Amino acid sequence: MTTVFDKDLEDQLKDRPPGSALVIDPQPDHALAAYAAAAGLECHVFMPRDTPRAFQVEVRACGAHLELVDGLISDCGRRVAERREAGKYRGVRPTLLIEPGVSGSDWTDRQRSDRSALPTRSRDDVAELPEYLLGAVTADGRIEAKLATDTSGQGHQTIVSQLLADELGVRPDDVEVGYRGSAEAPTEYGTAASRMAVMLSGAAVRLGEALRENLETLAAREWDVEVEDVAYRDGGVDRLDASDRLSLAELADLDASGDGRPTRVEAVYEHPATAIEAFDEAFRQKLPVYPTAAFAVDAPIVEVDARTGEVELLTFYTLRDCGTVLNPMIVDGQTAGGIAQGIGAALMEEFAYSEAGQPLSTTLFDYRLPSIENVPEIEIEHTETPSPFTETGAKGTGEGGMIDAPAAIASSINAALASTGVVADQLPFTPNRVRRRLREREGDGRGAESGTPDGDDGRDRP
Amino acid sequence: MKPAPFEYHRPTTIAEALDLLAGHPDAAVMAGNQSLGIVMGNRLATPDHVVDINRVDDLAFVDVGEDEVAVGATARHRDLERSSALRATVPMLPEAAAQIAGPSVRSRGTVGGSICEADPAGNYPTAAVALDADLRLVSAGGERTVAARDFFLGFMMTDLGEAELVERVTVDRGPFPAGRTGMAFLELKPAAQTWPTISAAAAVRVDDPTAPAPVVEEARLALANAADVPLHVPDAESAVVGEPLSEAGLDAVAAAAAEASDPSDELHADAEFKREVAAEYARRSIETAYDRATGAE
Repeated sequence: MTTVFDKDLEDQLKDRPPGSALVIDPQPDHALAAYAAAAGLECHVFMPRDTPRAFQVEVRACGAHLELVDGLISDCGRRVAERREAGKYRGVRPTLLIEPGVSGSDWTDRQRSDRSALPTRSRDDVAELPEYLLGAVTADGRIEAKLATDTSGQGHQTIVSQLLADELGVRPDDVEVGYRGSAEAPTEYGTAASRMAVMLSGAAVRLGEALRENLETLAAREWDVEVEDVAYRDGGVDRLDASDRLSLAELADLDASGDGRPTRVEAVYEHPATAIEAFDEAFRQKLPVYPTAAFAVDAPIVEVDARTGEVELLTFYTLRDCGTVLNPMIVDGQTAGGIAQGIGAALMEEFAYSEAGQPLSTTLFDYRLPSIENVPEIEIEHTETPSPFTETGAKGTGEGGMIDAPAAIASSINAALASTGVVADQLPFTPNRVRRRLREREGDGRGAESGTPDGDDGRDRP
Repeated sequence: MKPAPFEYHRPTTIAEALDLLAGHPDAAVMAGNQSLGIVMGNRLATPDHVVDINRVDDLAFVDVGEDEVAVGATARHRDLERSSALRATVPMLPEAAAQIAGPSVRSRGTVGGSICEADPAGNYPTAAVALDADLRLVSAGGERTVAARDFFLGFMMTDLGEAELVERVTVDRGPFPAGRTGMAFLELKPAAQTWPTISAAAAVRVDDPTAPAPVVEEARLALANAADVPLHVPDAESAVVGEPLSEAGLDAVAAAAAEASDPSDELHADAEFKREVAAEYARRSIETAYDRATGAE
């Protein structure tokens, strides 16, 4: 959908093509953008540069691409024609993502088990691996936590120090987070299935609760009062009558003369699916069990150069919901990194083989990874719909971006090239492939402005 | 991968380097080492001697003179990219340099290395052919000057003798007076770290940029990766000379570029595609150069 709207309704009525939707709205540009977004159509609005800013913002907010033109409304019409004349096809088509998260070890086990025994299986036999987190108060009154699961750089330590700081009312830099040795650590599922934010944040909350409770008990014993007469607050335990306070260092010191158990805790966060009845059926079959479902909508605006086959991403809009955002910087980092990988998959990266099966993408010259030059501005927005099933409301989101961006980009390319009949039917949709598809369309007489995709051409060599 | 054993030499003067090359006919010259180390590591090259010219200070210069521009063999891509004097006189060279790989490669790679590697997809070979640059080749026995248009013989093959070193690249400023000359170096390159699929190097001089329709006095065009050597396209040049740039002229440029191109299939680009984009980039580079010459851009 590419059009130019005059503000004058009468003009619209007069010029309306037969069968077209009539937009009756004091601001037709805004309405057009909104209807286009609802219908999943690309929408470009060309406005004179001096159009009031409020109108410009509304159009952009509806996901339409806005181009400001120097001059009057007639100059806008000329601009649209020029873009097409130059072979530049812009398009956007919103796509939706549901990202299942936090799959578990029981599902893996079930794939290897006897199917006939599953229906009569007891729920007690469900064996999901929990997340373990070890915590201790050190002699100098700091918190030391140790993870049992490895990391790939997603910020696990940051999440634990941040959440323990919240739970215990201390500063994040007072929480030292390290790793248990592989010999002493209990069996773990590992960093997989987008599970770590959910599992680790749950374990951190459990650890905070356990430490607070233990420290209150320890302090009550020291003062020889009931536990109800003391309260953990901000890095220490207070007597409720305000007559005394024990700091974390003092509590560690008290515990040092005892058995050391109150200030050293192993928290265990059970896999959320184990407590959800709705999964009973899945656990008795070979069905996946995903306690969380993050979701997103993407709207990458692409411009296809029909003459060279190059696809430029102008802006990548994405609205995402991973439940409670524990740490915005980490979530945005996961999103941006995932989208960058998705861009590579959509437009560049390919393991190619010769007809004899020889791998052809054997170096990074041939296996093309995206660099920052290939990644456009990514406009990330979040809504937060907390998971009812996880301790912190977080949902797994570690694989978002790379799941959805390839399909999102392909869909926007399809929108851009809709009038040519070309569809992005094979990823990566490289310039070579774009041009080949366009040539095929031109060659069989169904060039621009005609025909529908028929998917005749299938796989081809790169 | 490790290279086969070799003897390493690090001369500090041109004379010393040339004596080493004369004494070791199979020696490989190492400049920015952005390619040699890779082929040696893969044992595709196993020279017994490597002559590292990075400490020969007399080869590292960018010299913009009254009549000509001279660039030494070990001037880095970065040196060209950042040279305001070059930007003012032969802007094609900084534009070509700036599009090579990423900053780390540009800080090491050299003009001489790129010229001698003679990859038809390389930026400087194509720019040198478009600019009709001269190469000064030196050896213990003397020196000679070869036009870039005669230097590249075949795929990664040049006229360079075994004991010769490319000492400098020179560009005559005469055809490119500032104020009415425009240049462009445009690449179709899907990923920064790879070679471009096609590049086009163009220069256009007009009679009077302030005229309503400036007339093209001279045009230059060369294409990278469109054939087994950097490809000079004289038919495209003559198609636009003597009149203001027109759509018909640009169509003729594209047709001449397609006609001259003789590309080979590669992994991500078949020959038909490369021919198409060679034509389109030829058109765009001439148009951009004209717009720059006339101040429209």
